[in-house]
Amino acid sequence: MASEQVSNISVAQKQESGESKYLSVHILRLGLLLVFLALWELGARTGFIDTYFYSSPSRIIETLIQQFSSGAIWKHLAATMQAAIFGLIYGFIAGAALGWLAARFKTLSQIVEPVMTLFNSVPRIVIAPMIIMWLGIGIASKIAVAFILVFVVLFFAVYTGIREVNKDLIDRIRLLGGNERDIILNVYVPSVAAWIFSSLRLTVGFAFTGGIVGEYMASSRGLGYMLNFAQNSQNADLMLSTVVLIMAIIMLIFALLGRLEARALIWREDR
Amino acid sequence: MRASTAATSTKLQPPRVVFKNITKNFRSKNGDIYTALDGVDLEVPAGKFVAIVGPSGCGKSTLLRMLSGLDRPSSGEVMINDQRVAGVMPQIVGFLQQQDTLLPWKTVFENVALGLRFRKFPAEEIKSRVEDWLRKVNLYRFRNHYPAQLSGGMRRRVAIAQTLILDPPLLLMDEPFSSLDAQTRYMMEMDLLSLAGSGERTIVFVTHDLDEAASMADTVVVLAAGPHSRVKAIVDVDIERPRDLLAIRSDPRFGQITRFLWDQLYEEVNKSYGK
Repeated sequence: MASEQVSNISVAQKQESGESKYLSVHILRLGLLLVFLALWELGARTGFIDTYFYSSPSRIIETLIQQFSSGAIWKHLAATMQAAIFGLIYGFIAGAALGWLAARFKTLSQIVEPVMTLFNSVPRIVIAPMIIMWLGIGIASKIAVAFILVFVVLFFAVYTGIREVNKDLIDRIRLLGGNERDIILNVYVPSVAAWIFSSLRLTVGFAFTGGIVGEYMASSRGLGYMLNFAQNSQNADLMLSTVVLIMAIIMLIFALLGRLEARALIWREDR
Repeated sequence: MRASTAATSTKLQPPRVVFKNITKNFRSKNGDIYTALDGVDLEVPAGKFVAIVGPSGCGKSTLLRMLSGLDRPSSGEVMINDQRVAGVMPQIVGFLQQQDTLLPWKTVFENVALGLRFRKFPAEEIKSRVEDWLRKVNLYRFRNHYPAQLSGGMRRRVAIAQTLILDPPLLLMDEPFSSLDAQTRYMMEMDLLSLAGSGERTIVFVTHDLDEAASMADTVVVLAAGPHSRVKAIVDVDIERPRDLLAIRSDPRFGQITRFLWDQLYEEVNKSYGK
């Protein structure tokens, strides 16, 4: 059909111009970053920037190399990863389960929803000192802080995913002869999955935030602990290299999650 | 296997539809009651094609929703073959809704296959039937696309295939073609016309287009403006089938009928603007 061919061509053109725009934005970003780093380095070498407080790109890289070659960094990386991953898993399961139950049982939702909304609107990190007081300075308190942050996000993803499901689609499945199981599989599961996938980056980011903040407050290992140590010893090189390392890890994970999300939510995109 | 042979051997007869003294109230947010339909009586004989026209907001879509089992009358009864409609009846009723109701996370193919899958048809049979229908609605090339990647008219054609593939003996359509471009619309109307003439299914069709109603239906029902809408006129289109959509427009009888329908509707449209 002629109209279809025409629309296909215009879609293809849109895609092409979209890609080249994407590329040029990338180049621009990278350029700005390089200029910033060069100015910083230059400032540090000419003495215009005090490296005692502000370090410099080359000193940060040196510190990172030293951290990795001495092997000192590994136990800290492992501790943070462990806190984030376990917090993520537990928070994911518990948040999803409670979200599902609350969406299913009205009485439960009437009890739980106001609490969760309150929890969602205050900075949840204020609970961290309390958790450390109760659970001590070991790994448990870090997992618990990550857990609390993840739990609330997952609760709302699942709860809203079920509550805000498109009722017309449920009617449609019934009209086509589907039973309750068909409705769950074809409407609820994909709808909730979409909410979970679109909040995945937020969730994982929170898991790391929880772990690192917990470590920062009270711990003897982890990237958060390193930040705390660097602060107490006024070591800008260590501080900034740790920040760079955390950013690099998060960016890597986000890139992977972005791919996963695009894959899972492919139906949302205009091809 | 068992399901498919059962489906073919028990090809259901087209049912008769009766609306008995239907009232439908809607409660608005501030508690006011809006009576959309008030005492609607209407019969659709088995195997006939009835088009319902009326000014916007007169409750035409509500009538269809009640017949589909998605909605219930506040009082009165909707009957299919002397059986009161109490819920959806997917074996008898096919409903092509006005709004877009494709599953966004399923491809075109999967969307069209849904009804057959719910009926546990074997996979090969689903594949061949769905592909047939996709060719029929000219979407075969797009079978692996998702609804978000299609135009409004293409999505409509997916919905049409999804509904008609189940070959329902009672077919309900709520402004099915209004979002299509003129050519596609013409083609779909021709297809529907060929389905209609056989008397193998009962069709209730809601539209705001009088020409479309009169050219395709056996009977056109005009609803009065709401609130308290009732049946204002019932007009038999006594033009022989098979009909030709283009030739019918120059038929003098067609001219008389659409003229009469327009006069009826015009009064109602004026009423609804008068308020």
